[in-house]
Amino acid sequence: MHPNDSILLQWFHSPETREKGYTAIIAKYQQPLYWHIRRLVIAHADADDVLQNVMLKAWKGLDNFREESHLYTWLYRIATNESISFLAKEKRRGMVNMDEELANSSAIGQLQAEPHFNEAQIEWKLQLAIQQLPEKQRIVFNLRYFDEMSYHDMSEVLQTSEGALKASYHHAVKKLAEMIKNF
Amino acid sequence: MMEDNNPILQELQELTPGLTWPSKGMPFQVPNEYFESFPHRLHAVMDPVLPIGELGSGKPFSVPDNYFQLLSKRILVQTQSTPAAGNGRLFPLFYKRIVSYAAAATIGGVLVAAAILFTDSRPNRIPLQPPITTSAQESSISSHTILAPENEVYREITKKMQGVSDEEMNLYLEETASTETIEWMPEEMN
Repeated sequence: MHPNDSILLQWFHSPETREKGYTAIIAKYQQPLYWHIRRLVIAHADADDVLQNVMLKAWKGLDNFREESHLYTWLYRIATNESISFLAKEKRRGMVNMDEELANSSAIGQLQAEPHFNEAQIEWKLQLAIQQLPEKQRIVFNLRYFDEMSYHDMSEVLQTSEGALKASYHHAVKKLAEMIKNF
Repeated sequence: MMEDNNPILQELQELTPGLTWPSKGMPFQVPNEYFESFPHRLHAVMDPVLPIGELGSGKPFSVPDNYFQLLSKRILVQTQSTPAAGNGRLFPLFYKRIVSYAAAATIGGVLVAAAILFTDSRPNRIPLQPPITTSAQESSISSHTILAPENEVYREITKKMQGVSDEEMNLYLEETASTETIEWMPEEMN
């Protein structure tokens, strides 16, 4: 069982327990952050790189973390931004004017290249369907469906109003429902 | 599947009535012991940037290998390749006599200074520093340049002094001696 975030921050901000605090933060959040990143960038090696960047940024930024938001949403925000930056970089590397549809089909190709990919398996079908969503809807759906994040926390992560997030999620659910019916 | 009282599931059922959503299990594979080893690998990446165990004394800047070991050699090469001011001439050769008198005055001054420095019998003497010279003079003059008998400049000066009498030398010294007191600055005690 992991300590709550306020204790982790107390440990981190005290010089004697700083390293203990940081290690505990990694232990608590590495897996949820990893999976959030992985669902966006697909490949393990890329997710590992992004996760390391996220933790390094957390190390550097924690001293100035004002606790206006929760530690949990702050970390998710860094992870989301790093993932988006990574995907944008990949898009620029692949093709200068790659539109969203083309980028999505590239992500689908990556999914299909994953080890143990099994198109018949419903979990893989859901991932393929999610990759066909626009990026923002994909992120919102992942955070709500897989991370079971509240709209309030999501608004801290994505810096978007709860109303806009609800609308985005509802659109995503409707689109995915149509695809799931055809599974 | 999510529990029935889960608000996320309830929301899904409201939006898509009758539809069974897949489980949330991730189909992606993760290497063995990935999460166990992640903190260690992260620390290995962080150490060159900001050593976790040395907060406050971290060295975020890196220096090329052997930088400090080679620095003194590089500076020495640069100073040796810089030509001495006046191509080895200490004094401008406007008038033979002025050069002779000036050379004599310089040699005399150095000898007096050496006598003072090396015969002071005070215990725990604080080492004195010579008067401040310009950087151009310092770069062109070294103790070996002036005092070494085998040095070409030394031989030249000695040759010019051969025709100078003591009376002429004293007259020159009286005419050119500064009225300002040269203050010998003691080296600061740390």
